[in-house]
Amino acid sequence: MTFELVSADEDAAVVKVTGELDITTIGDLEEAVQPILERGPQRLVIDVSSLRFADSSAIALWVKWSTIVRGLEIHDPQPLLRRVIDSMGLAQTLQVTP
Amino acid sequence: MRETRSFPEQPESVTAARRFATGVLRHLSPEVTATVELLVSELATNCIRHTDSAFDLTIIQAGREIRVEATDYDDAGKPTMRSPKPADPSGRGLRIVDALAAAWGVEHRSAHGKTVWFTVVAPAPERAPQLAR
Repeated sequence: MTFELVSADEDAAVVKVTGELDITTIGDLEEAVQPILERGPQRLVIDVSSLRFADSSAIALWVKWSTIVRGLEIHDPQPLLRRVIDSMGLAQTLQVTP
Repeated sequence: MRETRSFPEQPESVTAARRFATGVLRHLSPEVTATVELLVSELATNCIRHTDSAFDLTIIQAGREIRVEATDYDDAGKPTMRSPKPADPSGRGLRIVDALAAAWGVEHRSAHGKTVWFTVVAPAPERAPQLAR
């Protein structure tokens, strides 16, 4: 898993996550994003277009973030991840785009 | 085809179990392999989070059906599929299995431990198009 802060201003932060998210890597992502959450952005965009794998550990963290940041957005998930988010009824909670 | 491997009780086993499954099933389509990979990750994660034991992963392919079994050796109770509300962070592992697998279940084959299994059916190969005469 690698993490990159693409942009950040007072309104929105964009982070790009690549690699694989599971029980072994999810703690690293949570730790890396914590300082961004503490700045209280209006929006947090997670670009997952290059994320190769994500399981329920990732979904759990994103849902937790959605309770902290009103404008959480999961951007451009792969087809299987999109299907999982849809079938869990989380498309609105996680604001999947496009 | 039937392959089994044992994994120690540590988080890294979740990643290792996925690698094992995708390696065994590398001859299948990327879509089928990706689904199995995700569901293996969910079963393996449950083994690590909810049991105090190593686990075995068995992959059986019979025709188009792929069956995966995760067996632990812990006396912990039966896994339950929860119904989290949209704002609840956790409790979705077995829901994902339920949504994507053709079938799944739990078996108690010995006095200690349990086997959680699922099946995924690979789509029939497309017929070659008829050539115009």
